[in-house]
Amino acid sequence: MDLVFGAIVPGWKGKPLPRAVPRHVVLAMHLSMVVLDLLTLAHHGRTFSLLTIEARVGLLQRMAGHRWAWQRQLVGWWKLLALVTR
Amino acid sequence: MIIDGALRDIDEEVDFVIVGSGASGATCARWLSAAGHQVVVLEEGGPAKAAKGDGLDAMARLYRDAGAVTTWGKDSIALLQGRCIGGSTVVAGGVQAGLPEAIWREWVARDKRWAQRLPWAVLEQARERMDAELSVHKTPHELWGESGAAFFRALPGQASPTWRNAPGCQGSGRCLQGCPHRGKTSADLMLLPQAEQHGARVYARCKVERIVFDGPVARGVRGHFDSGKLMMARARKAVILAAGAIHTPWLLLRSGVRSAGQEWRCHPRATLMGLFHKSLHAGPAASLAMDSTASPAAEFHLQTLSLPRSWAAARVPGLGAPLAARLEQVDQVATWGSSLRAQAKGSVHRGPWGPIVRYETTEKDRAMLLQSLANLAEAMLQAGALEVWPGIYGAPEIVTSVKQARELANIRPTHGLLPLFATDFFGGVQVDERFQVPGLRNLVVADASLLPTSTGVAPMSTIMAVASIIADRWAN
Repeated sequence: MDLVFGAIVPGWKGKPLPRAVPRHVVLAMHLSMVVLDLLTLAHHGRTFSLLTIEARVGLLQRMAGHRWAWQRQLVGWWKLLALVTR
Repeated sequence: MIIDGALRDIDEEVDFVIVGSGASGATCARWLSAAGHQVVVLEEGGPAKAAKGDGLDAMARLYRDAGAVTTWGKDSIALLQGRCIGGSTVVAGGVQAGLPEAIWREWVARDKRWAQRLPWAVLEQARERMDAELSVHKTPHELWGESGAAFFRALPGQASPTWRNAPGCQGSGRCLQGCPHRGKTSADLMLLPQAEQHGARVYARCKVERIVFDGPVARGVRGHFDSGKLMMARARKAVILAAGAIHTPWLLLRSGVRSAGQEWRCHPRATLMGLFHKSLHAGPAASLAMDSTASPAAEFHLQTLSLPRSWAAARVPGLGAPLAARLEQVDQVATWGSSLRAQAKGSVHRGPWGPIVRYETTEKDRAMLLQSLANLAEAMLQAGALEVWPGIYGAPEIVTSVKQARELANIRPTHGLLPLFATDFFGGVQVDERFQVPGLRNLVVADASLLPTSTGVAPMSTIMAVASIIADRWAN
């Protein structure tokens, strides 16, 4: 999560999610990271954490402009969370 | 008296049990208790406290599921609902717009019985009474802010200051996080304290799970507190459902009323941003200062929005270094939005963790939304914006000319073009002449779930007026 948020907002130093955030939202967050790792494996043959920072940003940019709306929405959600937790 | 949670099981009997403490629940509690009835209000959230930060803390504390609820469908619309004492009145911009008569006529055309249920004159009278109660007034010039003033200049004849229930507004632009100055006459500050003075009790952190029936007669509700203790509230006269147009149908479905949840509607909203040459946030500004109300029954409304910095930043285009560079200019950015009177209809269902809303906009809705954003982008450029950031898939990241702005309307209106959110929800329950669920007795619906269509304008005023009419009828 930190790596994704750090790629979206350079220099991101986040706070943990507040306790009031429901567990299923936190679970959805972690599941979305699994989805990202699967996408990274498919495209780069390695997990997101093993990519260079440029490759991470590039991958997220491709997702943000992807023709499939769910990928754009996922990046939009991460971006919102990165900005509200920094 | 607000009772924040419980350390033991509670079982009590009153005249009216009200589920939900938002606009409609608080209004019913205020008028029913003033008429001498014993009232209990059950609220799932805790007492509303303005959050200090502008980030996730505010969302987690005041919004249902930290604002992460979305519709199921190809659009994935964020559904923002208050979850605290006072409900969405705490986190709304305080806009109080009366129901357009054209919309009321539409209701009557669909079903003539609406003319008897809610006669126009009675509805108007109730609205005026609630406006007086809540000190509704027009946003004064000094609270328009630079963004509002630019909107007013750019849309002559269309833009006008909003009417708001914020007599103590200091222009901090923090309505959506709960006003830190208690400047809004939200339900927790005005209607519920009045109800408490008349003896009403408000239970916080109490989630209602089921309506208890005796044959076709509603006898009360059952639920539990966050502490795990049980709540059984018995109603001598009626159970009043005021949990909003998502949770009221859901509660009915959970309680075996299978007809609930259909014909659900909302006002999908989208925003775009404009970069101006100077800071727009130097002076005070109300969160929702301006609205295009020249045509109240129009298919869309344009408005200014003063969002918390981190929320606004999420709509700034780009990722990584380009995003960081643009975030430096976020003080020079205005956020304007469009609220659509969508034709689409959805439905509320029971899900594993709570309600699920299935909803997808129609192609006509999306085309209308694009048209409204094209108008907005053009107005923004005319108001002096250097750049407009539409954030629409298929559009340029930065729009700098009127020609480019107009072309936004020609984008193919597919699903998921841009982030949408909604705060106004309607429908899901049908009611009889006494606002009861048909076929059942003493089970009253008093919130937006009884409205047959969307209102087109901010619905808070209509919801409160209708709730006060329902309370009057049941009080007598």
